[in-house]
Amino acid sequence: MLNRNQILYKRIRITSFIFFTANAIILSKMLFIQSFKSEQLKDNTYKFGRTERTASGNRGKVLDKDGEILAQSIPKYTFWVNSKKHYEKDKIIKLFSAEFDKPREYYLSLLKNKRKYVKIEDGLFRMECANILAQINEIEGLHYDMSVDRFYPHKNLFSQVLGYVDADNQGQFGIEREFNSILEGKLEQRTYSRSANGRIRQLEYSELNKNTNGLDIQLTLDVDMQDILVHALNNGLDRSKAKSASGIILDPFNGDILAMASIPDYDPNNYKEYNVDVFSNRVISESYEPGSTFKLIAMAALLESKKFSPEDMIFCENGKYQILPQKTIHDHEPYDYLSVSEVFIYSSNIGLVKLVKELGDASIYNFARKFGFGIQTGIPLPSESSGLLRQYNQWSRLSGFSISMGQEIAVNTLQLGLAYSAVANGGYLPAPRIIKNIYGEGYDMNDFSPIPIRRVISKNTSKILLDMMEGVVTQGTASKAGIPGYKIGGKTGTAEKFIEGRYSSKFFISSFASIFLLMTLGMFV
Amino acid sequence: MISVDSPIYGFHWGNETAAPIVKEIFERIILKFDFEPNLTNYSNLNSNQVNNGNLSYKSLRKLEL
Repeated sequence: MLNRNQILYKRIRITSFIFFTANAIILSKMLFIQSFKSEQLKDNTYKFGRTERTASGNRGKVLDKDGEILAQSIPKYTFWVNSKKHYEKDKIIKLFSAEFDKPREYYLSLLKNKRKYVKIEDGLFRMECANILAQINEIEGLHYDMSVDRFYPHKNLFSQVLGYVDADNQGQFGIEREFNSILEGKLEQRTYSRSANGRIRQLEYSELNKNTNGLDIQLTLDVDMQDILVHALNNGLDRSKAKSASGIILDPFNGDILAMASIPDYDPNNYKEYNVDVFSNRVISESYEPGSTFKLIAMAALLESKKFSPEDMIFCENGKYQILPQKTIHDHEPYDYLSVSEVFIYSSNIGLVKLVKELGDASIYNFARKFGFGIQTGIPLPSESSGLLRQYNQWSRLSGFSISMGQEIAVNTLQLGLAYSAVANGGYLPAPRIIKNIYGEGYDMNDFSPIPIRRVISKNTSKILLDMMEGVVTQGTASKAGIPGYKIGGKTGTAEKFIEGRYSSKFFISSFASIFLLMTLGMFV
Repeated sequence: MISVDSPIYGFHWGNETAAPIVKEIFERIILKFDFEPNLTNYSNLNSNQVNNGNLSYKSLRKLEL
């Protein structure tokens, strides 16, 4: 039988044994980990304490010629609550109802759903929700997410020139598509430290470690001019109940495009609500037979040949003339004798065809090519149509006459505008310019200076043609373009549309090319 | 340069549809920039009067050479 001290001594020995054995095991394990597992555990610690994310810089801005913003990327806010947890329901409903002028019942019905993510309002610009953001820390259970969206402050005004940015942040149509690679922000890998609960704490390493934003593009477009053009096109479309209307305003001295639009258009902020038909820029993407506006090219060829002067008289057959046995043409009013100038002013098909017959059709082909028809203008925008000018060896005996009158040839509105610019500026075909400049860090400056492509007519011929164009407005076929006291020149065109292999007597392309002389601004075409 | 696709018959002439659009554009430009009436003949203009673009006549003459 053990006495009390022996029992106590025995217990101490057992306890000590257990204690030292446990310590020995722990120390052995620690030694093992330190010796054999340290590298693996170090890696694990780094891996779970950090996270890598791909980040993109902001998309660059698009500006007008004076620096006004036409497109920019800005943050948008979405407000939400987790209705499965506690949140200040009444406070949230009262605040949103007051801010967005919606009935309390609207928000009440949203919040009836018990979900982890109940969206209250989304797609809000900062200025629209500044008051809510200011109070958000005082309202329990109200959260927000932020995303970057493309914003077009002028809505429809520049839609087809600018295009839009889709949900994958890719530019579609217009400038957004053509310059997507330089507008979009650069992608980079970033390493962030993470707290124990997995939340991102701070940026530790950036792959590029410099500005990743896209470049800004300044256009030659002018907001005021664009507004004037779009307003007038809309009014014209309402009056004539037409299918569509397109227009361009150019500075003929440098080829700058001051305004370019087609109607119907769309709001690129809400592009999903529109049919794809309205997205393309019809000023450059659609080509059509120009009709009498093309007579300018034939008249330029006639005058440049030196065989004809503006005062020469030609018999216009009193309105009906058989060019070939199978082809008779008409004037819309009968004329007997007209001068060469009057042939243009009154848009006489017969007078022009008889003059071209004397000149020869090769000259018409050469001048059409010189003025840039049948090939793209090279404007840096997607989907430009080259139009159609068949090779001379594919012409029929009728082609020279038809093309002089603006048939058997297809042009886009920009090509025609540039041809009239050449007449306005003294004879040089300008290259179209829509990019004024491109700005951004690390960008090697390109030269965007205006470029004259080539001289197409002499200065003297351009003066004669300008006087003829003025006559079209003052005495000829464009009386409705005249403004008393102002010098305006132009040429009308009414072309029958070529539908299902024949010229339609119901559907037309109605056009007007005009030159407006302003001493302080130059001239507009 | 204005073109109108398929206006209703009667409005199909260039003078009926496209020319009034151009007139409206010019009227609004005149109002916007407060331009004085100007009846100078094109043929009386010299290069300095009409050329305020970036493309100078000097550079054009170079091109001709």
